Amino acid sequence: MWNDKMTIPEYQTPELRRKNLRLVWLLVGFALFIFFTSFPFWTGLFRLVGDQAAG
Amino acid sequence: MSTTTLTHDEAHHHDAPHGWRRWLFSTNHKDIGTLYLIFALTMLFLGGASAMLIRLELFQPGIQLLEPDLYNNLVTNHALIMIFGAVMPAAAGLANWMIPMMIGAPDMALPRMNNLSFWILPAAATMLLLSFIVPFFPGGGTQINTGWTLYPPLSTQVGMSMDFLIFAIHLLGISSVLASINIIVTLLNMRAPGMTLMKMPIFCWSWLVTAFLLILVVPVLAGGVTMLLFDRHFGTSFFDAAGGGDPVLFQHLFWFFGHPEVYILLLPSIGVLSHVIPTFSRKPLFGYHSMVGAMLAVATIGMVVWAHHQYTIGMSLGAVTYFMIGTIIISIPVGLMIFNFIATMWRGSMTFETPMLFAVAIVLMFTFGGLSGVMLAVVPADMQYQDSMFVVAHFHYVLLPGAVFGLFAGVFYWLPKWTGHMYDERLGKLFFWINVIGFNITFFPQHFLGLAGMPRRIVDYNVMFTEFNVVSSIGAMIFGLSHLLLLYIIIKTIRGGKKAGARSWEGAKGLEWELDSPPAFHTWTVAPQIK
Repeated sequence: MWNDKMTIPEYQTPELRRKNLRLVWLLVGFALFIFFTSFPFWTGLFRLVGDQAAG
Repeated sequence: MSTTTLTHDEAHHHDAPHGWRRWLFSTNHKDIGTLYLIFALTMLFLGGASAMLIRLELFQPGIQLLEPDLYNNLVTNHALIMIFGAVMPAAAGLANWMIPMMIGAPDMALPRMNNLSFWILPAAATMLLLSFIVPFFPGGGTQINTGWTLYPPLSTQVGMSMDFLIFAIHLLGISSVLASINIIVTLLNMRAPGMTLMKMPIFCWSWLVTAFLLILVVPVLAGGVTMLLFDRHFGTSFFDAAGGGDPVLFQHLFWFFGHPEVYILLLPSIGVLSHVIPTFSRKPLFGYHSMVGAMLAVATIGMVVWAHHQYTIGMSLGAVTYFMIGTIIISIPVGLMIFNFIATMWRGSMTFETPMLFAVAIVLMFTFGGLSGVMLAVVPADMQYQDSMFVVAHFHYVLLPGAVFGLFAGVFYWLPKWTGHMYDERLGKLFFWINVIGFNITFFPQHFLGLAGMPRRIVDYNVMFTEFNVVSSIGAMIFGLSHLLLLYIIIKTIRGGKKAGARSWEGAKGLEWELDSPPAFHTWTVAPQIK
């Protein structure tokens, strides 16, 4: 399926690959954090703004 | 920009793989960029067809062609297809093609994830189109008549087509986040030695900011539509007042994504202009550092002003004042970008090839759209303008020049690099004039319609609005059909034409112009040294 003509893996030294993957997991974690915290965080913020409007 | 020493150029002229496998399994940034651009062009025509149907219906008062729910579904589809199907993939196509060549990298950092990011898109587009088609079948439920904002409680009452749409949005979001992660990793880890962040081309900066914005806001939209899905099927009451929830919560979630989304659409085009204008002015970009700062400022402030889309929901005076002031403050960094563009042109040896024509038109028309945006940002005024055709005119003046025309400028600018052929300049200019005149005939009268009180998202209207609607619809037909000329120009350029040199434009600067036109299948396999 994949072959060297397509991916030229020689430019991905093990060190660069580790560095890239470390950043990927950091960013994936960040995106998941935003996704999961969006539920309670936004409900709370919305209530805060609502209370302010009512008050 | 920096100067370069080419220690080794594109020496590895591997043959490109052939047949369908080349495209389905591609991990080559140029091929995937091409796939993104073809996908975006296809969706541009689909979204454009829905827009032309909308304008055909509005040509006359009364109901001519479309049932009200079908009309509203077309409005919904037009927005979603254009934003998620056309503009974002087109910008991603430019990013895929240009970023590795601009920073001296052999490919994107994660080539296989790049393949996945693209191939999720056709699946998502299929789901999106199914959401439109399903209601035509027995038992298919109602049309999605909510508009692209999907506000509950209406969106909790729509039939199964809404579920298709929610899953389409999830897929589109996953694709965007994966592509963004890839772009960030590529830009931070794969730059050629010596290319510091502040030597990076502005187009790359624009995408770095855009990619971070995407990662910050797309998960919130995903959260919002997931809650919507739970409300529809799993008995939750996030947005159901009867169960203790509130539909306005969805508006906050949606616009926390939706407003930065405007900048997600705009910034890559600003990046394109930052290359086009210096090239055809034969001067370096005025204010590189301030341009980077302005993009960061736009992204940061743009994250915290979302509720200006919701002034009429009944927020406190303090809250609306904050959102109003924050929104108006954004005009400072945006104005700075515009002044930088004008200062770049100032006393330059300007020529007006098609990309530059688009660039000049963008500076004029995007500024105009920005000014009507300031009008809408003012709370008491917005109470009058909201949900009127004035809003439609405003955001089309922002998004068409600011995003779409910027992408057109980019396509014409880099088409010689991609294909190895110069496009037909005469046809390019013809396309520009028909396109821009058609655009203005379509959307300029909509300001007057809105100010006179014509609501948007309404299939029928009072006869007093007829004249401007006739003009707008005629403009829309001219504007819509002009894109067939664009398609013809692109196909003609791919098939042949005057040979383009490595540096296709006299004033072009940057690593990408050191490569052949078209570039080899693999480029920068040995990184250039940046001084």
